[in-house]
Amino acid sequence: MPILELQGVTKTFGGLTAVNELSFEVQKGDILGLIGPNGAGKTTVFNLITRHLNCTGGKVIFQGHDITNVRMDKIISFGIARTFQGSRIFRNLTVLEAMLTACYSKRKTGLILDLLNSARAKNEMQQHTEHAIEILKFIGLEERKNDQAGNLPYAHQSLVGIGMALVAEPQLLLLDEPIAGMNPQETLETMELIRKINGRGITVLLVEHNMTAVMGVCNRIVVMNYGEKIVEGTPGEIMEHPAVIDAYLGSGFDARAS
Amino acid sequence: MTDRRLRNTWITWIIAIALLALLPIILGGSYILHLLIISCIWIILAQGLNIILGYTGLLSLGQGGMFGIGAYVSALLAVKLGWSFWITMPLATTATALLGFIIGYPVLRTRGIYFAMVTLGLGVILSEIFNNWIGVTRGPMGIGDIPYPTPINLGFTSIAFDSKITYYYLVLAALILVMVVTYRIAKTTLGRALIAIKEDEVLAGTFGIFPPKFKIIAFTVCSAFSGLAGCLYAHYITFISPESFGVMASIDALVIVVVGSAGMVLGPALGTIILILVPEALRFASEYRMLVYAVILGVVIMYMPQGLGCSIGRLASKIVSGRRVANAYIGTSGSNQNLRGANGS
Repeated sequence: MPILELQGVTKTFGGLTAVNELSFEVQKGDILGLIGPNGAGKTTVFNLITRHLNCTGGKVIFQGHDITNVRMDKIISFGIARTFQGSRIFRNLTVLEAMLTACYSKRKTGLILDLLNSARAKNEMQQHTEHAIEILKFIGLEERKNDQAGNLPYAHQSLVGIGMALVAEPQLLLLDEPIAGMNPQETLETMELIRKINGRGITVLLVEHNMTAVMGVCNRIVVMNYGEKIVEGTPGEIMEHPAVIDAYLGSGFDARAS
Repeated sequence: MTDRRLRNTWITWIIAIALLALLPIILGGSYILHLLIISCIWIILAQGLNIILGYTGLLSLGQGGMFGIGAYVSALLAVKLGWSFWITMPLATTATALLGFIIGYPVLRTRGIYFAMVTLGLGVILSEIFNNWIGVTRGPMGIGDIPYPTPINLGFTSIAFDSKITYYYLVLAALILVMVVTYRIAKTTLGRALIAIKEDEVLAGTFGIFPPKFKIIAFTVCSAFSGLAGCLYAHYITFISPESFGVMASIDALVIVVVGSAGMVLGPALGTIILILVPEALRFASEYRMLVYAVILGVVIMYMPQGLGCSIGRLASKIVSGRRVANAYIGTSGSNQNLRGANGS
């Protein structure tokens, strides 16, 4: 059974169709790449899955649950976490505080018990802190835990975004251009990190423009253009596919000549 | 280490409370007491605004109106129905909180400048109601002869609240309660959720924090504090009229919060000290008081845009971390970790 299934998902903004009858499946344990030229509707698909936007039509099924009409803040407790383009993080908090804020959905103690400083709340706080530190070690930012998140170098901010998503312990992680703005070394490290995240049993859905990274890390790829899926397959198949070359380089271009 | 720090925090709290309790004895004088009482009430009112502005990032300009609701509800129940202060105070606080909860529902759909405008409108409407609902509020003539809190009978002795010194301890107790509640909010999940909403509402939502719920909670707490402040004000001054609860009261609370540092538990206290006590201390040069007030405001806004509390905090952490660096070099208590932490900050 696929972990995530999009069935004929459509999104229109007025007269503009951003996503048109899109259907694809993500299998558990996949690293699925979602690629396409600028404006193809990749980020819109993310926003539709995590309910930042309402679908105009179609269905999103996550682990057998129809999440098409679930409220945005409930998505994380289903087990879907995401990062945003341009590393959208809590910039004025320290890295650790940002991670603890992201723990919110794991909280089991009520707000009142927490306010009253109950032993259970304290205990939970301790667990969350330990877990956050563990994740920071995992992404290699433990030493930066007391730094203000917005003051970190760009590549590290992107990692904080990933860390915040991981600390919520998702089953499916959506990464929106995690590599944008990174140098080649950082790119390699992040690719390795994505593989390690996958190794923890987390299914990854990746939007990325860096083709080397996408081809290197994904086991399957969905190519979109003008809001529609044009091809789906393994990286090898995608690279050779005429429709993909068409979408990226324009028709009439001979791939072998380049 | 943690234990010692915890104990130190407790010792700091106890010393601070003891100092505040001894303040009237140290300083003496009925006028000083009056200032202390008024300051405590202002800190409570400003703390309400601090919750919604400093923590949640919403600029409410209806604070004066909520202050008035607390004052009028308590005063009317006491004067017209003859109820005891010990009943009217919780009722007035609850009523204001409830009003905040109900009004919050539609009002909190707006954000940014629109929220400021809607709450400004709310403040103006409430002030107009105080002015024009003459049958109940007696309009501009105000309500007089509001009774002092009923004496508490302890069996062997009774505590009356008709003297300034006992009233000071009453408002001080209320202030400590408000400070502790704010401190707990700031330290726990609730505060973290509010700050997350201030930082980035969409991101907060992504991590499961439903912004409308927390905004309502913040607005309700804000209203409760304002109502409590209003009630304490009414039973202290014993006369209330609409002009105390107009837009100017909202602006004053705003200035206190901004000068003291929005989003810090002690911010409103600092702001009140600077903006109420310092001008009062300069009474001997009364013609320059407004000038001093303006200069304080200007200097803070130009040189400490995040407020006085933030600047003091930064200075203190610099001194502390400087000492830590020194310790690390000497090798007394420092470790590599300390050194790194100090460099990082």
